[in-house]
Amino acid sequence: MTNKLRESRNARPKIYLAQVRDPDVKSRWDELKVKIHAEGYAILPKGILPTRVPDGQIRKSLETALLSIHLDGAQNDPLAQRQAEIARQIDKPVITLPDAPRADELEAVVGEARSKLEAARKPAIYCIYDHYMDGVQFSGLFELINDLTGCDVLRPETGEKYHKFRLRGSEGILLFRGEAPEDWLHSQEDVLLQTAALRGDLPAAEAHYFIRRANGNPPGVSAERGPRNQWIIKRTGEPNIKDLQPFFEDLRSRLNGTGGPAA
Amino acid sequence: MSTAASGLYTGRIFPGLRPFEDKEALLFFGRDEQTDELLRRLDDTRLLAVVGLSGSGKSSLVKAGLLPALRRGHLNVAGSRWRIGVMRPGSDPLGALANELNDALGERDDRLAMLRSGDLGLLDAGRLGRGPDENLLLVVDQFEEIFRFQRTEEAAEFMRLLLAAVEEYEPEYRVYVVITMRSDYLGDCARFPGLPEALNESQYLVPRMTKEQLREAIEGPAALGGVQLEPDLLRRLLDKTGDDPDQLPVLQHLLMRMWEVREQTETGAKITQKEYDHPSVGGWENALNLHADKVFDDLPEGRQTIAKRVFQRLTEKGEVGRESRRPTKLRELAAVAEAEEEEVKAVVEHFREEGCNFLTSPDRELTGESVIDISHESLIRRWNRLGQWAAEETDWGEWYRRVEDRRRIEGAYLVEGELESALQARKNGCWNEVWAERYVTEKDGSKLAYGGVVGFLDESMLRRNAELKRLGRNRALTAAAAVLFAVLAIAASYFAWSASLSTGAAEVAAKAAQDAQRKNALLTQKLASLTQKLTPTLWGGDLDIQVYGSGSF
Repeated sequence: MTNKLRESRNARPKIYLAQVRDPDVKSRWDELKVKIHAEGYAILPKGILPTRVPDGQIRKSLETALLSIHLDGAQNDPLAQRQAEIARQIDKPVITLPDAPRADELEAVVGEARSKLEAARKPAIYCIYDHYMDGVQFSGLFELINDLTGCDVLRPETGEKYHKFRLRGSEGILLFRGEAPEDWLHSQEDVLLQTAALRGDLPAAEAHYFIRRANGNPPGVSAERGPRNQWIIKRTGEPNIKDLQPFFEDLRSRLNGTGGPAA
Repeated sequence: MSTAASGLYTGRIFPGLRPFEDKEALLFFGRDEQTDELLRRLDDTRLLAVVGLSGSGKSSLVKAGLLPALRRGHLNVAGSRWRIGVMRPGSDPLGALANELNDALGERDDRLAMLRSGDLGLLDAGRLGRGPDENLLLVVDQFEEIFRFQRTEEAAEFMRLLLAAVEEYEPEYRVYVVITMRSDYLGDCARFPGLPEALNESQYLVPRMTKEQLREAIEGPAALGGVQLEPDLLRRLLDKTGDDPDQLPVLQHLLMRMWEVREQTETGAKITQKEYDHPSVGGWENALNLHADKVFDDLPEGRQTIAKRVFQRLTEKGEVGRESRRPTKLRELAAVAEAEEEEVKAVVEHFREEGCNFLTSPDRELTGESVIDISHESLIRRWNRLGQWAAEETDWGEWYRRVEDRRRIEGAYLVEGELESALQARKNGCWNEVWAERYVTEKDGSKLAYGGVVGFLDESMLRRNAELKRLGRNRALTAAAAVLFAVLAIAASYFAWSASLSTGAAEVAAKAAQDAQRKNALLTQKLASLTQKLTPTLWGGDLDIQVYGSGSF
């Protein structure tokens, strides 16, 4: 379970936030760090960089990140300057701020980061399932989905903070349910409906995949449209990637710019 | 949940004044960051105190934000299987806790006895009826009621149960506790050992929503309902929220009113400034007052009187800014209002109708046992009429307590203005035994029965009347003596006056006579002189002329 948690945490988009030493700006810089983290991004580098940290260590973190943010005004801060220089060398998308942002400027900085990342990122499918009840049953599907679609496959984390953020940003949404409680399903459906309202004319391709144990019943699958044109796919027996075919077709139409899910 | 082509959701998209309920999570927007923070803290400590000003949306945040997030499995390690009880401590916190556990875990007769069995009673009582992989969450909403109901021993027992349940960690039978409390009661927490320490670890002070969050809270439900807000109107609303401490309830109520007007007039898919300025809506400042007045005025006169008594019973004026609600059973409301339960039920239903929501009850069908509550304190602050009623009620209650205090002092009967005021309060406040329960104070472990208090007031009145009677007799005698004296004095004056009048007339007459005599003499003299002058010419001898009268010519 710990490994799975770690794995899912690693799925967050990573932003490199250059570390600064100047005590005058450090507290405001830390607020930016909290804000970026709260918006669903992983922050690099982890821990506090020692002043004599090797360049290679900085570069490694920068390479992993999708974007890096630097403070231009840190003239008397050699470490800050070194990080900015390495980011330029490896041609990483960069945001350079003239000064540490005030509280009312944080939103704008995060907005800029989001737009840059959005422009650079791969399409994503957000797979929602109950870790605790259905994790084992569905985990084998995610790699297959990734192989089939070429999309990033995002999964929820425990202690999830970015659920709605991912729902709003993903091109496809897949909800899986096997043994998860009824309450779990209802609260997920509420959030999906909220997301659909906020996304307006840009809905994601969406499917709900329900698995029922065979318990002596013949295995089988059925697919029908739900009230929001999402696919409701019901399977008796073991989950099968082929059952998701209608969803993949919707997703393809959406990614090809031929509109959202067909009615 | 219903969806439609015009919007994803048909039905009321703004709940109005009352807090969001668990089942309304769908309509709850703009507070994801706050919810995440609650999850983080609950994960750390298993006890979470959500603290904030009245109107900051604590209950909504917990019920429509935190609970659904827990059910989605968003709390580290805990999983997605939850048994959740939401209670208010009221005047019987242990009883309420037992009831809530029965609702969440299944009915058991021994639940209350287990709770009373010791500090670990909640752990024991909360284990029965759930599987080892199911978490138990207990939400104690309006926790400050603990401080208001003054049953300190039971309150302390309740506190010990909550604290022990989260301190004694049982991995298989996890118990989480969330309390919501107004921040102005934080100081009162020091009354209970261990509570301040626990709160220091686990407190979350609900921040004001940012403009961006408010925008989402407005636009999200609107988008679900397939409507939009005119951009100018949205800006106007966001500006109005400003520093208003009641920003959330007032905003929700106003949105509901505008949405209703739009539904009635069918002005299309937009809510515009026209709805904001509509005379029946009343804008930001007056919407609540206007709407509450309208709902009240729609009642027939007899029921208006009941409504007044009901609201007075449900309101605690308290110190400035500490206005609070006082949830009460319908049966008690009827007794206080001296009305039939059916009548009170009709009044309550009138005020809790969909689209009104000034009163609430957890029960769909009201009975005498149903607990009735005002939906939000902001109604006490914003509905002028209720503010006035609450002030009156406070005054009547204070007079009751004053009479009660005097009753404890041997022979300290009320007199004069004080008595008059107390009698007036009793008359206007329609005191009765059930009404007085709210104001009875215990001193030295004793409390005075209502009969004793009003008996004392009656006794004060009787004594006053007797005193008045006695004073009245004395006054009559004094008055009679005074009248007699006055008559005598008048008589004496009359006689004196008469006498003086006689004397005066004689003097005048004498003086007139003297004048006449003087004038006659003068005239006689003049005539004599004239006669002397005429005599030699006419008659040549003495002329004898007789002059009569006393006046002059």
